Amino acid sequence: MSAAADAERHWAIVSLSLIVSLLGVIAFTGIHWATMPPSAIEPIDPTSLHISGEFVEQNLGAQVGSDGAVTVRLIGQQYSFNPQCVMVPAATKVTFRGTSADAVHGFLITGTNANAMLVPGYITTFSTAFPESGDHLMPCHEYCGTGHAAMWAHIRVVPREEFERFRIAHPGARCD
Amino acid sequence: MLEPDETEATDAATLERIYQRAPLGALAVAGTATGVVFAMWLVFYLFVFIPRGFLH
Repeated sequence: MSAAADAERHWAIVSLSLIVSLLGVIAFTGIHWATMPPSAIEPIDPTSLHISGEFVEQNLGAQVGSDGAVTVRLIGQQYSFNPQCVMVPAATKVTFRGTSADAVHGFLITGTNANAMLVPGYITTFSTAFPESGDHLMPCHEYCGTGHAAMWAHIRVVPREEFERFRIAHPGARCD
Repeated sequence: MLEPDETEATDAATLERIYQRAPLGALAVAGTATGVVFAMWLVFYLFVFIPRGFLH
């Protein structure tokens, strides 16, 4: 076998090794940390969001379940998020449930891996935790119309005790 | 520069000599480019993606 053929064989082995190692890292990440992309398969009627069902006004923002886990519900609409600012506790599992009232909107929380789309007719959901306190900008990252650039909200992460005090006086832990 | 007749005389031997060597230049360029891309991916994975937490 010539040296050129040898080189090709070695290069093929290196390329395949890289592909296999990348797939291995993806599998390890998915299995070890049980991580997965946000889901958006639950249907919902976008024409009655504000009138009935899960996304009525009093349900929006952060709610605490009986197990202490926090659920944040929000709506994206041209050109704002409702609520505009939500306070959540640090080092706690937070489940986000969001949907859109009109066009497709993007939804990412800066400084984290939270990154999803809000699609009218579907509920986007994922869970994550914020290890440290701080403010996170939450811009729309899917072009949704002429006001897209001005569409953003905030997630404010605070210690659990501060969150509990705040949400008594502010239903939904809204900080806007 | 070689004249045409000289080129013809040396072509076969030159090609044979080049062919017997591995394509070291191509391997160096492709290996460096692939290594840089892979290293950048690994750095982002280890120092950006993982510290930012996971979605479930």
